[in-house]
Amino acid sequence: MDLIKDFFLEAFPNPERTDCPTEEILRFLAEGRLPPGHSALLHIASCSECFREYRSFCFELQDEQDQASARSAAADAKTADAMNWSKLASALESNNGGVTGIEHILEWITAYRHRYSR
Amino acid sequence: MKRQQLHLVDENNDPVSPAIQSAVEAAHYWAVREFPRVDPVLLANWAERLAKNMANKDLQGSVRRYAHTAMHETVRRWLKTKRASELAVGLDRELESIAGMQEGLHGKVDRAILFEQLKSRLRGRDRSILMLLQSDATPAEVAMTLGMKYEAATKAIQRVRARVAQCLQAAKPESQTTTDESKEVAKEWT
Repeated sequence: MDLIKDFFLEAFPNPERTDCPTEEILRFLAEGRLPPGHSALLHIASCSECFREYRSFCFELQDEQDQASARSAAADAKTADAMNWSKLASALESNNGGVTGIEHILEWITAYRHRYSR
Repeated sequence: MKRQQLHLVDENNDPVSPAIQSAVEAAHYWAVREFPRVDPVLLANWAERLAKNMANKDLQGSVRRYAHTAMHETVRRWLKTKRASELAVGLDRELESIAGMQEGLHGKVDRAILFEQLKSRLRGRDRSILMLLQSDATPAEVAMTLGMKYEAATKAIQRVRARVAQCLQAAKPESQTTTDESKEVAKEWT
């Protein structure tokens, strides 16, 4: 598909930026926030400069999403690690210990499943 | 993908303005992702040089757009001089084999012919569909993005693929014979 990508990057030069949408619109397009069939989508398929900027926004968005999912995975791991045997023991010693302790174990298992299912 | 740290300073070794920094970093990141076969050290050097140049200029309009255009121009110039001798940058092996493209002058001519063919045969919505297919969109995603019915989108995708396959065949030099492998791949596009 590199050849097709090169086609869009090279075949429609528009150095004067005639009829180009704003950068904000291109960002919205990359984020999927524009209504279906928006004219900007037709435009970027016929303007190499806008296609390039659209892809740049897409890459940035992907990067942000990757970072967010990495942060979320780290937070999950922290939550799972926070459940330790001393907490469980103190929960079992409390009034509703039996029920709370089992709930903690279930939460712990769920967190670990979530963590290692990726 | 981890972002590379850039040393963006002006001629006096002072840090460039935040606007230039952000624009150059964005253009550099785009180039790294878009041209993975170009040496990242070269891309970083070009980005740092670009920041220095931009700091000297009184830029009108969007600095981000300027940075992307300048970065792309530099990469394009470099690819033009290096493509024939060192790298097959940007040419997908699969499509290359269908079109029977070659490196060097013939390769450039084939490429230009192919791009002209694609331009004349694909118009408006068809180009948008090809663009979406290029980014691995499914028929359902194409339908949703373009506000079409699913059935209409699948038909339109078939039409685009058929036209691309015709263009690839047409761009192939007459002297070349079609191998079994390229026939197989061409079938996939029809």
